[in-house]
Amino acid sequence: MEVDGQNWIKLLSDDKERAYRLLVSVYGQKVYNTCLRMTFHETDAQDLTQEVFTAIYLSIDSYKGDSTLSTWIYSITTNKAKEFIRYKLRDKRNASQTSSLDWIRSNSGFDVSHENTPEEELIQYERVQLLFAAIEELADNQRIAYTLNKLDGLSYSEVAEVMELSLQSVESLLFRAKQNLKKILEKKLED
Amino acid sequence: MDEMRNEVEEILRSAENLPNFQIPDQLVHRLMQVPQNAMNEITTLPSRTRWMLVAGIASMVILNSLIMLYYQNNSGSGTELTDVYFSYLNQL
Repeated sequence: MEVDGQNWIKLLSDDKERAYRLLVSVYGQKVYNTCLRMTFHETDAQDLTQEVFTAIYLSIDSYKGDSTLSTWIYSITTNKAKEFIRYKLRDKRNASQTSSLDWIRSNSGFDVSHENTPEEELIQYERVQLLFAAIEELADNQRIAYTLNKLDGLSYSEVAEVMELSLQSVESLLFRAKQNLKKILEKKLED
Repeated sequence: MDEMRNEVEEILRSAENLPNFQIPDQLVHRLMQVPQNAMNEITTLPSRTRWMLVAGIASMVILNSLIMLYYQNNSGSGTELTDVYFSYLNQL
C-alpha cells in the first residue's frame, strides 16, 4: 500500500499526528525490514527504525511533495543507516554483535514458499546467512545501493533518487558491489 | 571451480526470496510514542542546563551593571589618561 503524497500533505496540514501515524502503519514494516538488512541485527534495526521515524516526525513539515513519499522516507532511512554503519564501524566493541544473524531463523516469517523441504529450507537459510555476512563486508555506499536494489526491490532510478546520485553512479556502484560480493563469497566458501 | 561459481550465484539469488519480517508490536508502540517523546525533548531542557542558563544570564547582568557603575564613578579619568599618554608621545 502506498500513500498518495498530495493527499498526505492535506492530512498533514489538518492533523500532523494522524498523518504521522498513517506513515507508521504503512511504512513501518518496510523501514524496519530495510533497517534489518542494513544492520543485520534485530535490536539495532529496532533502534534505527525509531531514529528514522523520529527524524521523519521532526522534518515532517519539510515534505513538499517533490518526490514520492516512499522515496523521501527511503532517503531518511538511508542517511540514518549510513550514520549508524559508520558509528558501528567506529565502535569496535560491537564488532562481534553484528555477526549474530540468529534472528533470520528465529523469525517465523522465514519460510515463504511453503513448498520447501526442511533440508532445502536449511540450505536456503545458510545461503542467506552467507549473503548477509558478505554484504556486511561491502563499503557503505555499495552496501546501501545493493540492499535497496536487490533486497528492497527499488529500481536503479529510485536508488539514484534516494542516494542522491546519478544513474551511472548507481549502476557502477551495483556492478562493483556484485563483483566484490562474488570475491567475498568465494573466499568464504573456500574457508 | 564451476561448482563454486554456481554456489555463489545461488547465494546471490537467495536475496530474491527474502521474506518480509514482521515488525514487533513493541516497536510499533515505540514508534507511536515518537511525537510525544520528540516534543518532550524539545520543550523540556534538563534542570541543570536551565540553572546554568539562568546563572549565565544573571552573571552577565551583574557584570554589565558593575562596569557601568565603574565608568560612572570614574568619568573624566579616561581623558586624564589620554592626556598623559599623548604628552608622553610628544616627549618622544
